[in-house]
Amino acid sequence: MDYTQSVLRPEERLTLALRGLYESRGYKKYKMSQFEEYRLYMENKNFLASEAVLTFTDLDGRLMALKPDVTLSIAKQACEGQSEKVYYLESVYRPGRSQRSFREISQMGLEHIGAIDEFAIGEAVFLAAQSLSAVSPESILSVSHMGFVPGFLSAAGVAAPRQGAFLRCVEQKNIHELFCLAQKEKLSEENTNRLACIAQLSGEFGKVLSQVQSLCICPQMTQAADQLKRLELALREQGCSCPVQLDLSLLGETDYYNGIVFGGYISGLPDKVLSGGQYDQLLARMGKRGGAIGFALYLSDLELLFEPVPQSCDTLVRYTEQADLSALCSYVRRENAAGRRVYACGAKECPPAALLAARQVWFDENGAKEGSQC
Amino acid sequence: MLTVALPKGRLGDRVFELLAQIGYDCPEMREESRKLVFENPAAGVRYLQVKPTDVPVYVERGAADVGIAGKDVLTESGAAVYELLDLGFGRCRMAVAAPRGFQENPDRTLRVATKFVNIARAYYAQKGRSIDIIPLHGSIELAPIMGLSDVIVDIVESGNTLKENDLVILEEFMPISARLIANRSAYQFKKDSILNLCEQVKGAALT
Repeated sequence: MDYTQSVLRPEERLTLALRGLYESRGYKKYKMSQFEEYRLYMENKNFLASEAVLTFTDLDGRLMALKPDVTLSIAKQACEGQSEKVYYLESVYRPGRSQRSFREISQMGLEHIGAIDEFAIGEAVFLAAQSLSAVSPESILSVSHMGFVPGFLSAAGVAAPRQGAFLRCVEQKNIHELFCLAQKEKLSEENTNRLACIAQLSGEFGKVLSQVQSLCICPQMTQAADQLKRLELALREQGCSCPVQLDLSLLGETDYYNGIVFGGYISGLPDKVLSGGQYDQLLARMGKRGGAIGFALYLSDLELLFEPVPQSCDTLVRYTEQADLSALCSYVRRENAAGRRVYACGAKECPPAALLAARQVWFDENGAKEGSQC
Repeated sequence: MLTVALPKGRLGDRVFELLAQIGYDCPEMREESRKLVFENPAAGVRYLQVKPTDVPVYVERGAADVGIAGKDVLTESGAAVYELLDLGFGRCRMAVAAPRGFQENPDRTLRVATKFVNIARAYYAQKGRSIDIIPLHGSIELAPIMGLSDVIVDIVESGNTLKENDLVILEEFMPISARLIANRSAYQFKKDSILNLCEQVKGAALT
């Protein structure tokens, strides 16, 4: 009997399932160093969730950092003009929610760098949705487009430096303050109502799309709406098993993302467990042509979903000082060969209480006997 | 079942009465007890009674689906939640106050006593003013009187406490009232229930 599969914890099974999923679409595993030169993050700090980075001086005097982000490292390595599809399972180090200490965050995700067309976008979003389905049947993927709200604000005459306050209101679905702000910024009543609609619009992707078209007031928004329409088609045709919602209030970091953005939720968990989108601007900043899309699933945030697995074994062997070493080793080997998990300890030791329910074997100079003691 | 975090005290009592009127009653809440969790399965609601400053934390971390918090507490916490409704009551404002006759010296770091450290820091950062924050938990008005600080940043309702301590308002910068907030994940899965509650509260609060 092969007992190696049965000992896998739920999170290990999940990462195996996700590896299978990503490899089914040609993504290859990417293993990176735990450290990067600190300057990579300083040159691209607008692309980081937090500027706080754990640093140390390497033996050769270079200032290094424990990775706060995976995407920057992958984008840095990407070869121009070459399509790269990679996935990773890595730890990153960022300040925790309380901001009082750093946390090691385990995340799994993928990046596609190269010519990002509508199939590539549809595939990455599909894999994000399927990743959520692999975690829990009660999951939702929320999608949006970064061009929509900023496009609206520019067309409505709100200059870029003054858009931040509007974006915050939209992101918080804060309609009452949106109206106050619109009045202060002299936005027309029609545009104010339209923006309020955009902030509140969310629902089943296919159903809500028709309303999106009617909210467009400029070519940038129309283009965003068309891309969303094509994405909906791509997800539907690939047989996406996770419910997908359109929520235009979902805004990623404006310095980081452009185009399609998305976030994933699991029922019972308080925050997004997956986030991703197109990030062509990062490549452009690195002086590389082409586009990029990717996402990260925060495995550390999934811990609450998984029941702790109690320590267990099939056979509890307690041996005396007089037990013959050779006979004891042979006995344990035979048990393992029969597919049974063995916990062996000296007779004077106290085995973990959880193991006392297992079949117990007493082992002394006479060999093995069933029972807790001779 | 919707889990609602209510702030203990006057604001929480007022909100509960409003929710009870629109079908989210919970008779257990009116009984004398030291319980903190109250449930009415028939109305599909569970109430948590928590310290007002903890409401955003309960909602952000998903222990409650929705909650009621003052804008001051919400902004100070920086919680990543949806702010769905301004209930329009519990109105006051955030203000900078100082002893009567105070003359600010722009050449010196301004000492600011406050309970609202993050709000004060953001306010002065936006002005580009160098400050030294003195975090206090109560009787903020005492700080400038005793020379502990130059000014205070605090909420002002009627202004009587300031007046009685010979302090004057230098600037008001944030209107405050009770807000209905929602957890972002709960919103995805319980959107209909949350929006229904919102609509009803809106209707009742305006009448």
